Amino acid sequence: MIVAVVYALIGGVITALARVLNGRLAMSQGALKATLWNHVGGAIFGTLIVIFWTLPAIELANIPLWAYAGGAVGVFYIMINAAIVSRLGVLYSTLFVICGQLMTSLVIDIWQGKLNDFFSLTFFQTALGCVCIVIGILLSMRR
Amino acid sequence: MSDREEQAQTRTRLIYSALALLGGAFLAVMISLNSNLATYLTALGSSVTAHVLGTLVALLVLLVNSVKRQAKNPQSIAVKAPWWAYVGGFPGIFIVILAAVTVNGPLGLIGTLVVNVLGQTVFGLFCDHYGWFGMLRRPVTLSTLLPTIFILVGCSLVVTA
Repeated sequence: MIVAVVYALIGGVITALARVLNGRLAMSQGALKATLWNHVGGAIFGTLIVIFWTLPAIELANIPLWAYAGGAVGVFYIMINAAIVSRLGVLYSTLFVICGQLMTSLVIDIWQGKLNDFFSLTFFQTALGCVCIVIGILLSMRR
Repeated sequence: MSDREEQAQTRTRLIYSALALLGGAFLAVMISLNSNLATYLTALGSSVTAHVLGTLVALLVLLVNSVKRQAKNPQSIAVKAPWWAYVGGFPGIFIVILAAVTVNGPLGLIGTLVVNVLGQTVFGLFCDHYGWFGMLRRPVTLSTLLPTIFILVGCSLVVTA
């Protein structure tokens, strides 16, 4: 259990680390070049690992074309990340991105019908959490 | 500081905060798409594919942008970027590998998310407070911690619901 928690913590730290590194590059080169270098690095490093980590044989033809769209969406995610870090600071950038992510996941869940009982404890707790998040965001706006 | 300057600063802050939320929305869509791809290619394969395709898309956007106007960077105030700023893509691959290990372990998806958010927040806090990795120093005070706590509690409530 402790090992799993440590791994998850490291996962969080390197998520924020990627944001900081890309943000630092954006300060000198702009957000667009930052997202390009991010993807070049990930592609090269990932390919190296795949080479040493045997992947099972995959039938590429069976994959629908839209399944690849994540790569394109990721470019804009990294670009926005790189642009905001130097303006909002690492802490608030991190928190706001997580908030946007959660809210969107909720909308996706409701849209897909996974969250449809509006009188359940689950929904109440979700709504309460959202209220806390909004209060937190409003508080952070105050100077 | 004059009133007008202060107003302009508040407006910039609002715009970038909204942009941050939008970034989170992109992240949610990206994760949803890439997890679907992972069912065909495994998590690592999906991540590598996304990075290769992302490189092409980024090149395309950069090309279109530099044709439109001769690549003027309004933000290029900082000095030359250090070498480590170019390898922001490396952690991305580790994130995928670590997530694959923890989500399938005793923490599960929800536990992984909560601990992950905590790790991100604490690391962000240190970067701001001490100006790590060339970031502007933004000392953490009670008025920055209060919203942080609200947001973290809110996120935990939503994730564990």
